[in-house]
Amino acid sequence: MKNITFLIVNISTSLSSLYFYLLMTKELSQITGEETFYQSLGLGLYLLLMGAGAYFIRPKELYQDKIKQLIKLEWGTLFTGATAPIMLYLYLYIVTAKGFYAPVSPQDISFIPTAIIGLIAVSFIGLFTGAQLPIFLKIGSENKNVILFSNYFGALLAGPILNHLIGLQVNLSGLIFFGIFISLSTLFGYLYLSRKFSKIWITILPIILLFFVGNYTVPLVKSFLGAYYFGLKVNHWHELKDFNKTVNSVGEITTIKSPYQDIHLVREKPLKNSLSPGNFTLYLNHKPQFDFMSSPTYHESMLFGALNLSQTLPKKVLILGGGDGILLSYILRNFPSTDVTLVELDFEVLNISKEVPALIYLNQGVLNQKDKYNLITEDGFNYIRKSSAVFDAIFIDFPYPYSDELLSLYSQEFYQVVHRRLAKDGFIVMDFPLTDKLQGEASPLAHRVTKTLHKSGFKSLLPFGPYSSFIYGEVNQRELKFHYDKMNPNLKLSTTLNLVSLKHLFKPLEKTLKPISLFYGQ
Amino acid sequence: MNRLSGNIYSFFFALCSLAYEFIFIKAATAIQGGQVFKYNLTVSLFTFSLGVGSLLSQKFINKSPLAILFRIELALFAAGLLGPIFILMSHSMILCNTFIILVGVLSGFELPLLFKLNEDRDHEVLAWDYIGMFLASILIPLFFLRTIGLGATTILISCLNLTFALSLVRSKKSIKWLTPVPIIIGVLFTYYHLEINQFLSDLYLQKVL
Repeated sequence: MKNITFLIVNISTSLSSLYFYLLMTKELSQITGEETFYQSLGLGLYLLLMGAGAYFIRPKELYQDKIKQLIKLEWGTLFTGATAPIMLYLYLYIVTAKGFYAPVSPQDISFIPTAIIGLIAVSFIGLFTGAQLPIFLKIGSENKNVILFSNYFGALLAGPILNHLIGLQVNLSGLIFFGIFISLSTLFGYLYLSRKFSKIWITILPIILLFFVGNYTVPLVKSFLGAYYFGLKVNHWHELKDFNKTVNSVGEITTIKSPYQDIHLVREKPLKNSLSPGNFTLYLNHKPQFDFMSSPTYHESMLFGALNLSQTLPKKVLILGGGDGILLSYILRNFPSTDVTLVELDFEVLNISKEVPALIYLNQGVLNQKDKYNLITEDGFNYIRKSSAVFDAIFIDFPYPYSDELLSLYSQEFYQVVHRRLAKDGFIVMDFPLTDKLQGEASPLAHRVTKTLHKSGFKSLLPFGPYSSFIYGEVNQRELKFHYDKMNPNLKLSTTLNLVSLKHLFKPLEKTLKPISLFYGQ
Repeated sequence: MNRLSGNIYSFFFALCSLAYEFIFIKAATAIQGGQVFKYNLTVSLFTFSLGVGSLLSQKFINKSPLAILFRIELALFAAGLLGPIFILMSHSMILCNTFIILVGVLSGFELPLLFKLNEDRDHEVLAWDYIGMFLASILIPLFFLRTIGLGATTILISCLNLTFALSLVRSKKSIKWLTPVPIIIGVLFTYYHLEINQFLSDLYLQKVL
């Protein structure tokens, strides 16, 4: 029985270590959008410090002393793993609320301090983990292979378990609770192995952490989000304590966790004694997608800008992304006989677009009219890979490529497949990351996207939209220009002002710029 | 095996093994997306496979460890070089996970064999093993994949692996002159990284389209 317990404790030890490590890299990736950086450097530091732990922390001689060592190391892993994500949000909250800088997107979140906090945590978890295995091998020296195998088996479980919990839309405190639970079980296992049940006090730390995490994680994350989304600042340090009251007086943040991303609905209350009606914004992974005020300009520009350029009326339309249903509603309202297929990956975006009043107002409840369009809940790239359908128009309404993963949706492989799904005289129009700082020329990324589209067979391209920018593309070579005399007279003025070519911002394509490809890291 | 050789082999074999895993993560993300999920799964599978490999190695450890290590490295070279091609041609996550496990298991053989060849220097061998993995985790995703892409990185790492595998048996006259050839070829291929990655892209699209 003792041997089985020993193996189970070994499994849970390695499970808790790798679980906390993966949790930390996931949070860092999600907050900053820098998945590749944190995954690679995080793993490297984790492994390096594992080596350091194995090398410098030598197992003690006596059995009971070894168990004490394991308990202390487990405490170290538990404390670091459970508190590091909270420390990260605490740091972000303080710097944002104190106004040290004003992030408006994840790219504005100061990279170095975030990296330092996260990577130090990951390193310590590696250090404690590395020190544990030699102690287990020393205790069970007659069965080293089995111990090594069970240790690696625990590591095997960590990734799928974390993925499964993310799939169940468990929030951060829930994910940390689970890690604490594993560590608590491990500590009970050590208690059993030591046969000194009077040492039950070793479980005090996880219980304190459960209390701490349960009470502070949600308010802390909410405070950070309040400072981040509303731009609220405090003048004095003591104001940080009651920050959530200030946030509640200004607006409301609703958080929905999906397996793919964090969704935030941010409602700004109308300002007192002002004509401002307030606003409503949808954020995905802290990145703004659209808001109540600018949504009509955005969606009208995308649809009517494209139709004006093409001078055709597409019969069969594909919308990739756009699970908010707003573009769909514009198409069906103005052209009810169009055959529209909507492909959206995230079912939670679809759900909130059917349930939240502000979104229902914007999309006119179209998502509930299932007979009027075809809905596919799947990854857009996967769908067009597998489908053989051909469309007259493809509207690509993806988030801006803030992360490595999103950049794959702007790759030449993606566009080449899109090209194949497009009818001969068809067109595409996509939300286009022109520039973050309009300084008279398009950003390097905008140039790369243009080059990628060219390489993928789109011979005619027109970027447009100084306020909400898009790019229109056709396979056929021809001159593209707006026909202002044929512009829809019912468009908002802001839309009409947005339908302006931005070709002049683009320099001739440089040879040194690489197109975006799935097979290059970004 | 002398001290310097032991440390160098430990370093480069660990670097190549972990490099292959990052290459497979990139290939898996290319065929199905979901980088965070793929990363979590790959790290877990790879770690577990290392354990399986070390367990299995116990059966062979006393039978000519140098020859076995050479064969293991040859197998790793083949798996690492051909894996991404098969994954992209098949678009199969099952095949991708199979390669991850295969490389993990084969890599799991390395440490016990190196320990056997470098007796009484376990700590040094382990330390250089971890340093090799640390460098791989930085260089591959943050430098090589960004500058020369998946195809050329795969060729470079496989050729590096083969060079060190051949150097294990360089005492044989027929092999001696051959030893540096793979890494020279690998470096030369990096000049054609655009063409190589275009080939992979075409292979990928052939399956898709």
